[in-house]
Amino acid sequence: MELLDSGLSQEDWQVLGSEFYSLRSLYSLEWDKDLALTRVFTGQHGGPMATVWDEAQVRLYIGSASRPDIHIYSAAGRQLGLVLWERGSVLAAGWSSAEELLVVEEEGTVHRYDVRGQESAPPFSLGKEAEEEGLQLARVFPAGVVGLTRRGALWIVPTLDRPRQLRLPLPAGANAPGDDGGGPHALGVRALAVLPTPAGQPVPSMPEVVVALYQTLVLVDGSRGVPRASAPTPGPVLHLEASLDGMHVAAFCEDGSIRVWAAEHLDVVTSLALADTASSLSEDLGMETPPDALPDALAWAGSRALVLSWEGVGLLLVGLGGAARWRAHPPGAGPRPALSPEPDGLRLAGSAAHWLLRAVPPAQRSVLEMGSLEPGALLFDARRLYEAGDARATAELLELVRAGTLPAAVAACLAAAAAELDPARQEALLRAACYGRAFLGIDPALPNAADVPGLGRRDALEVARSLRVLNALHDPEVGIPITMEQLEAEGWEPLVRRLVRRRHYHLALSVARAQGLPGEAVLSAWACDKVTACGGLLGDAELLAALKSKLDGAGGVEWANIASHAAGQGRPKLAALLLDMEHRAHQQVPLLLELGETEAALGKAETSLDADLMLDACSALWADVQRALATAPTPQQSVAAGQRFWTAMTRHPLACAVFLRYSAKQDPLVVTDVYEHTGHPERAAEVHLDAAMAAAKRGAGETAIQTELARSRDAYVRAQSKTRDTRFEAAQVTALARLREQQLELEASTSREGFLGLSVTGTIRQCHKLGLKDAAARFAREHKVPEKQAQLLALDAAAAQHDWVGLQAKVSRLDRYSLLTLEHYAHAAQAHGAPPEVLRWIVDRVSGDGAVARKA
Amino acid sequence: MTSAAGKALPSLDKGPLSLRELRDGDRLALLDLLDTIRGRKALVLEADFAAPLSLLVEASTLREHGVELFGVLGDGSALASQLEDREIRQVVYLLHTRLESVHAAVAHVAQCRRLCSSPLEFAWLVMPRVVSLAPRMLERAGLLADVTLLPTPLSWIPLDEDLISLELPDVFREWTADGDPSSLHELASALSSLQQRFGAVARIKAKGTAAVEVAGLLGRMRREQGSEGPAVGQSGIDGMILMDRSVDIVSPACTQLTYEGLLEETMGIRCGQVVLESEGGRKVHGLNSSDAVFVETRDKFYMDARRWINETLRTIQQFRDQGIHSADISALRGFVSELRDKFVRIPLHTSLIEQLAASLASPGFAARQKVEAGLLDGGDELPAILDLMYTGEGAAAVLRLLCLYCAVHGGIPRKAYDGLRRDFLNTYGHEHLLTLAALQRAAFGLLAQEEGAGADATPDIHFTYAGYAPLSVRVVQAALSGSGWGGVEAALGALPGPTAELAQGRRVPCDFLVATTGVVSGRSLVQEFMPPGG
Repeated sequence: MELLDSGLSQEDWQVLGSEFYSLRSLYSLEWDKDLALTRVFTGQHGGPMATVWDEAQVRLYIGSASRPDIHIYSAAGRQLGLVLWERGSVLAAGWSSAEELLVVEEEGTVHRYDVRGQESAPPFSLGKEAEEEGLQLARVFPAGVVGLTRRGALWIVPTLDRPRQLRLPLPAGANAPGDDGGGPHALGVRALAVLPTPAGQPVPSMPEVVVALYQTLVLVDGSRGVPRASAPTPGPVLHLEASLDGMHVAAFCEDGSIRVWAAEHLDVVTSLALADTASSLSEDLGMETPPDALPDALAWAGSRALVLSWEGVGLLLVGLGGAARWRAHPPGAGPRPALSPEPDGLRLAGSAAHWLLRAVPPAQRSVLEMGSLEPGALLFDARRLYEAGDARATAELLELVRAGTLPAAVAACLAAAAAELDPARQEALLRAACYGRAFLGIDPALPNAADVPGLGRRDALEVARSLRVLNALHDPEVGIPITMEQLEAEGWEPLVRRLVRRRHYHLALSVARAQGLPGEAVLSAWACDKVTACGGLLGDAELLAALKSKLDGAGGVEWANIASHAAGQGRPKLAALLLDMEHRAHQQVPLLLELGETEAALGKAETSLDADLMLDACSALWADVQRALATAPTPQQSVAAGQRFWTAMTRHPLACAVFLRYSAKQDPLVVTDVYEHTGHPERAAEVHLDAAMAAAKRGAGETAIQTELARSRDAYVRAQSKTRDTRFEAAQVTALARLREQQLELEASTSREGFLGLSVTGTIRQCHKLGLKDAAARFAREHKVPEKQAQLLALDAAAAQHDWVGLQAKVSRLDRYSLLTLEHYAHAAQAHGAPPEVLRWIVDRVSGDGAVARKA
Repeated sequence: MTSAAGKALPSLDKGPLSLRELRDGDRLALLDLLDTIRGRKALVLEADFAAPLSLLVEASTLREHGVELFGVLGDGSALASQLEDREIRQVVYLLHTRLESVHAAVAHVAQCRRLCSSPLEFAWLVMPRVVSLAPRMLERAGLLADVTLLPTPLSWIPLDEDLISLELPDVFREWTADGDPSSLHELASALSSLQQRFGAVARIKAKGTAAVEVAGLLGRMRREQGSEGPAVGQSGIDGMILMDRSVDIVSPACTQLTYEGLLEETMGIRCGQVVLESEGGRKVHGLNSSDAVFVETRDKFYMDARRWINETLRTIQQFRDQGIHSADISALRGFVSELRDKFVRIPLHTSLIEQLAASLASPGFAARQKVEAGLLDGGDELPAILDLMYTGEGAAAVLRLLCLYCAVHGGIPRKAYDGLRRDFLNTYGHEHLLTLAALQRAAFGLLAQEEGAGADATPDIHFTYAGYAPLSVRVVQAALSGSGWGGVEAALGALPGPTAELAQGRRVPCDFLVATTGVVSGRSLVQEFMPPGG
């Protein structure tokens, strides 16, 4: 690692508008790359760098004989992995937010590798159109990939968890040919950028994409058929980039102008021509005329400034306010450094050195700016004097106390320390903060320093602890030059995962424990690695013992993951041993299924009562059986295969119930089969009856209904056993079949409709209504309708026809042997609106015990 | 969605636990998820989830988050044409991981895709988590690539200050008649998440087969969480009593005679809301403890409630006529605040009481009441029930009385059994053979045939209590009386189902919060078993 001079001058501050930008060296690189011939793809938050020969350049120099392998380096230039690339040319590449390298081929296939160059997930495609036509442009963003086909269709894969392609709408002009007509850029679209999601906001399911058409910029998202906003550009766009907070879009146009838009409605924020930068050009670089060549890169440095790089000339910094400053490429960065934007700055990787350009954080500026009179700067100065044994230290400190700005000074020093990258200066700033903190109590207004939010002992400790982690990460062996601001954007858990993927298990575990995060995932990853690394060197039992010695005692280790890995490594016995350590059903069951232990999985699933697991297990078993049935050479074997399923179902009634409810929706035929074979023919009968009723409701043909009814009856008959009496049900199904026949006959003989589907009493009522007294009596007799109910039905029919005379005649014949009482007559008469005199006549005849109450 | 005017949400501040926090957290989570789907969208709900959702978030808030169209699962043709007309491309489904919902949603997606010419984007917000059921069914329908699945961690719907519900329909039937335990796991997960929020429960008691299973699952889940599990909280829940519905079939089978109970019987209260038909269309009114009048009247006998309202009106009137001139400022202030609390709600309750009176006057109601009262006195009311059937009472009401009969007498006499069933089928249609079979299978003797001849000799535990008080309340009382079941183990033994106890820490006396999978009333109890639309 090459540092410039020690002390304050090791960073080079440059003012841009109202802000300072500092440049500091991160690492010296020993990767010996000629960046003019190499394309570099870098990850965010101090992420890795992937390099591949730039074929366009390489063909010119050494021909296409060399294979374009993809090398992966840490930010410190140590090689992490290698991808032997044997496919077509690489159209685009980039790193996802989970540090996964996505490589896009021209045919639209996206390959996925981890930081060690191992394939991390199966490749996916940007869709059929992309495969057929090929892509002309593609872009990897942290959540996915977007690509433009040669005929101008824009396809996006918005998430990587379950990649699926969606087409984004482009305005009609997108397919108009550009000015150069022909060639790969024949279409209107020149450049693409995806708006990042600002930190802390939920990641949308569909990101917004900015597309530079010929002289127009449009903003599209998947939620509507037309672009959300558009804006003209001064000329064809050469470079297009969105700021990392998703608020701005910057472009360099071929006419030499630089323009920045606010992303929301594409309003112009800044517009700048190269000629406007002449004064800075002569002052900073000593050049009189701006370069004629086009810049080779444009990138955002944080969210408030962008940087353009001209090969052999230097860098141009442009602020959001329109301020612009030139500066030369830093030493070791070579003529054409690779730019990687970060939320708080920009990394420049050259052939020999890696630099970080960033906006000086406000706290650092207030403390460290030359001649600053801010409280933080005074406190820092006081501590320096104190260490030099100078009495003026006390005077300065008391000055701060008197002005009441000591808390602000302490806070500023703490914040400056947190943002600092140099360990020596971190320490100096922390010392200054602690020096001030010790005197917080002097101020009578602040009785208890520990109570001041942000200044307590824990806060200082927290900063120190985080800085220790950051410094460990900055070590060239690890090579993750992440800053505190980037870490806050990323979070500790993803960081631990990154370390695990780089096999820094010990560091990952220390970080996880220091931050109070569960370390089990780290241990599990280590164990998997161990299993792979051992190969056949250790026996199953020995390896298990080795793993247990490290993992025992740590609760929540995901044994199932390790077991699954062992199974994948061809060690099913070890997998079974490991799986015994696992007690979580939702982990065990899928793996048992994978290992082919379907019955064991079913048992575990049933004890867990998790319907989902039961369904998984049952479906897997059913699929097994289907496969066995299809391939069984003899009928005996296929019977045995079926028997296996029926036995399992009988043994696991809960799982069986879940499976049946699922099958009732998906394969109704399976349901009756299962019931018949698990000794529940009466349930099969119900299914047939249900099917018959459903068919009747649909208005299906009578034969189909009768067939189902017959099946139902047969099943009920079969169900009759010593312990189960289903004679009644069978008889009733027969009665129903007969009823339907009779209803049809009746409809035919009376040429009236509306009988079919009625209940027995409904039919009788209908008969009464149509005056078919004999038919009514026949139905009542045949279906054993009780005499009382039959009489009530007749009474109701008479009342409905307002046959009051007949009614009164019947009432007068009532005696104490009659089944019906006067109340029945009164209610029927009342319900059908009998005239008051009839009602009164009936009510007057009520006599005997409690007559008054009954009359009421 | 029906108009939300006149609807009051429970304040959720006064209960034993801070349910407001629960509701606000869930609302925020839901809205955040909706925001991840950009642009204008249509929201499709399960048919019976509209009311619970309205307790969580109002339709106007959903509109602010881009929901322009509402639909329910079922026939999607109307929604599809609206989608076309208004050029909405995002269709969002909010559904539970239940078989029926997922099945209906798959069909709905397929229908929308078929009917809409422009390409649609589908997203499923799956409550409470995405399990393999949804992807499996989507895959079978060939739609897996078209639908984004998002886990939506919603489970409990706070219905009132002290009542939260999962609002899962048909749970009772699924478990008792179909033997499907999915809802038990669902309930245990939800209770586990409740413990994550409010701290672990010190002591869990369970009564009934399902309750014992759930208690076991809770213990298992706690073990699986290991050190990540919640600690036994000081301010959280101290004890939990799990009880099966089947422990106490009698209570829901009886007609409740309180004001709230009768409203439920005649109009149906769902999620603390009652829907009134008026000339302006349907109107939803909230009925919960934020309603000062309802708080006073809900547990009163119906006639008392009526008298209370009349008296309140009279007091107000008297005060206005005479007191107002002589009252001092503080009395006036009291009067005004009383007016604000009560007076605005009184017109609603007067109209509710009028409607109640009309339906109570029907002859059927009196007859059913008589049978119920007779049954609770241990009488043999079978002939009376038959009579109700013959005179055209509805199938659900008759079944409900039969269930009560079985609960009281331990079954239907063998000699009457076949005749009764035949009459039932003849009267209401043979498709009810399925209803009867399901009720028969449902555990613990809904419509079971009486076993043996000596059934009458078994001690009739339901009537160890003079006058009927809901049995479930008695069980809770017993469970609260220290460790064990407070000396009523013998009586509990006569109730169906085993008991269990799970101690996770110490126990102190506490307030009650009722958590349920769904509010069961006499109507819904039987309806679950009947064929849809029957």
